[in-house]
Amino acid sequence: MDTEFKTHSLFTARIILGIIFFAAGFSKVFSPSSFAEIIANYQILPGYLINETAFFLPLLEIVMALMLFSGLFLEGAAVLALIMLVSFGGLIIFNIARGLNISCGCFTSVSEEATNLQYIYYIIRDIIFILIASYLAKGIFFTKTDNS
Amino acid sequence: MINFLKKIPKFIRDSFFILLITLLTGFLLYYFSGSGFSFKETSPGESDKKEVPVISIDETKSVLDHGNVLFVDSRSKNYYEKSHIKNAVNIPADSHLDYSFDFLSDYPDKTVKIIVYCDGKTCDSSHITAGFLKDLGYVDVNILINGWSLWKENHLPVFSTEN
Repeated sequence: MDTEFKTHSLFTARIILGIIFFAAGFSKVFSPSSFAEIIANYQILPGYLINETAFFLPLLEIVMALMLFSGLFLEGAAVLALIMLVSFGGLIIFNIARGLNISCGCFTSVSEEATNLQYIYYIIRDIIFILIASYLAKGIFFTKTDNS
Repeated sequence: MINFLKKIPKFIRDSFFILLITLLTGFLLYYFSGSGFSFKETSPGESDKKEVPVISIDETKSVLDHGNVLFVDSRSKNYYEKSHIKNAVNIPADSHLDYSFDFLSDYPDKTVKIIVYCDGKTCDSSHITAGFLKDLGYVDVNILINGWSLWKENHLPVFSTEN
């Protein structure tokens, strides 16, 4: 029963994360130009990497979503998801620390200013995503250790 | 080779394959889409415009307290004449070329910290004026997005002809 519950909960975590990454990637993949503006506003990447990142990052999110749905390369997908979510959270906090009120570009390529309330929402949302990704990564690696 | 691959932890191999699939998909998409994807312009003017750093209102206040800073209002002359940041000079984005000689003679120091502002979340005129100032050779040009509203919200000193 416990194992069955764990299997189901890990599957649910996979699907939820998959939906999150698919939504994030799909909303930006067709408008790399707009997403590039958001990345440029972050003022972190050098100019020559902005277009490339705007093109490949949404694709990576979609590929990861497909891997999470299908279960292929799952260990990598779980670890990458965790790394990306932690990085995104870090960037949002970095922006707050700098006092910049720019769009996070998480699920949209529309560049709008973000209010403080929106930033709090972004952080809480990211923490929830990180918890799901951590649970999945832990579950996958723990199960693997059990089997080996 | 296979033995070597097996020595690499699976999550690293998986991550590598995911990145490889993404890169391949990207290149194929780009190749077959023709001009289906539009990218951020990288023409000289546009590139200058985007390289201008954005400054926050908190950083602006800090600069105001500790250093010499020149505010440039990129809104139209009508708005500027009604009210603007105290001591700001006006270089409207739509007629910035008319102001270049006066500005260069009034502010010959190219290292002066300049903060360009306009009003509104989607206002683009500060980017245009800031790009123009960079073209003139000023090195420390910054943009305060939605500057006029933020300035008033923070009750900072203004010049106003309105009651």
